[in-house]
Amino acid sequence: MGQYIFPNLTGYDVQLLLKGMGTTILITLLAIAIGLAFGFVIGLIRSMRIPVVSKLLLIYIEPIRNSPLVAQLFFAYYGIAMVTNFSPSAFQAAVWTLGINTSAFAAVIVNASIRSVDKGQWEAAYSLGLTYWQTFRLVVVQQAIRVFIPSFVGLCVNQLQVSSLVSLIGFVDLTRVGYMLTLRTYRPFLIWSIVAVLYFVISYPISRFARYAETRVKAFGKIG
Amino acid sequence: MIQVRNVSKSFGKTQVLKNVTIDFSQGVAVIMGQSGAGKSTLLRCINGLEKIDGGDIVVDNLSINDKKNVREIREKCTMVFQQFNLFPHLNALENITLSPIHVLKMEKDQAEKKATALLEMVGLGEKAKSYPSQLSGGQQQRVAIARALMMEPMALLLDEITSALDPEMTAEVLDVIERVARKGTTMIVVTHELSFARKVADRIVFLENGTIHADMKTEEFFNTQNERINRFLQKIEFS
Repeated sequence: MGQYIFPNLTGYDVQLLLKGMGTTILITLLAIAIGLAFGFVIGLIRSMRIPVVSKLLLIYIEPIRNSPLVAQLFFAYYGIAMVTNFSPSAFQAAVWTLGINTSAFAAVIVNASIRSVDKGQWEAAYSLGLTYWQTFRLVVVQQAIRVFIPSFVGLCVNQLQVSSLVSLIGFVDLTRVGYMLTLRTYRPFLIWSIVAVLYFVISYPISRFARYAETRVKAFGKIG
Repeated sequence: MIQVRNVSKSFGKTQVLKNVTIDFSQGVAVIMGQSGAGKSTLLRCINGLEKIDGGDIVVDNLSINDKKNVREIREKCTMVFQQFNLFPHLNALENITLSPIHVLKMEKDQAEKKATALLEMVGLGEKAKSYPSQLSGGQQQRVAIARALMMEPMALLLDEITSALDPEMTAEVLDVIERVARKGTTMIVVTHELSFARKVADRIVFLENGTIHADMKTEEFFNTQNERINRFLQKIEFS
């Protein structure tokens, strides 16, 4: 019949998939670390409600939250190199864009978590002579963290999914490996099933943890 | 000694305190007046929770207008709130020992010993390990009183501490306050509980529209011919 025989998946392909999976985990973790560090500081400052500063930070947060990650990636990877002498590698562009993107969302979660703590808690602590930082550390964080964890874990799961977009700037993550293998083997059904399962394997435990963390929040005070 | 000098305070366009001048020394002073009269605001200003717009408040020669003094003033005048405001993530004992350990730098053992004694004083000796969510409103408020007393304040500021409680719990809380008062603790109490005021107060301050309408000895207050005060007392008695 002269039918073209597409090559099978080889052991090397499996290795490639696992390596892609590792890369995806790595950039997601780095992005989350950057996002948490920046997001914590920005969210904390926002929660202090300092008149002008608080609004200025929105100039950082809102454009990032309200524009597509793909546009941000292209801006970082192609745009920055055009106007500066610095041309980031695909890895740098991927990690930093994803990290800064995460930080905007994390900042909102941090701010909301801190503000979720009743004003009376601050007042009670102040009236006993505690300072701002003592109150923050000993009273507020302990309560805010219970609101923070489930939302933040949810954000992490989401950022893992959208990290697949870094494949569009040519960075070889799990999704990019999927493209490459599909082109070579022409077995999209098989390849993308495997890719999806591998994402699931990373994502599902995190989702489970989020649900566990949520039940802990609801049990607040009962178990201490 | 707490000296309030020409204090004014506004929230937006509403002036809540208008040039209030009053001294509080030893004994129990009860502040009465309609809601919105400025009673709570006065307490909150003394505690530095509200910043005053004009005038001065001097506690033991420390002016509240000097930012550096605010913390020390708060240690001297601890406050108990209507909504208790216990820390939900800490048990009763930890609620009480938190600030002595971190503010007064007291040793943990010593703080716990003292806290246990105070918990017994307010009748909650067995509840040391209970979390706020496991305590009734009245019990929570008694823990809050112990927490404020732990700082050995010069004065205790009580802001409508029974308003969120049913009559039975109100009685148990006021009972504790009465005992504390008999030990000679200076207190400034905002309350609508007439029988409590009659029994415990040395002096009653009547606030109206942000000014001090009357400031008299307790028996004088309840036997006054002042028409405004009588109208107020009648309203409370029949509500």
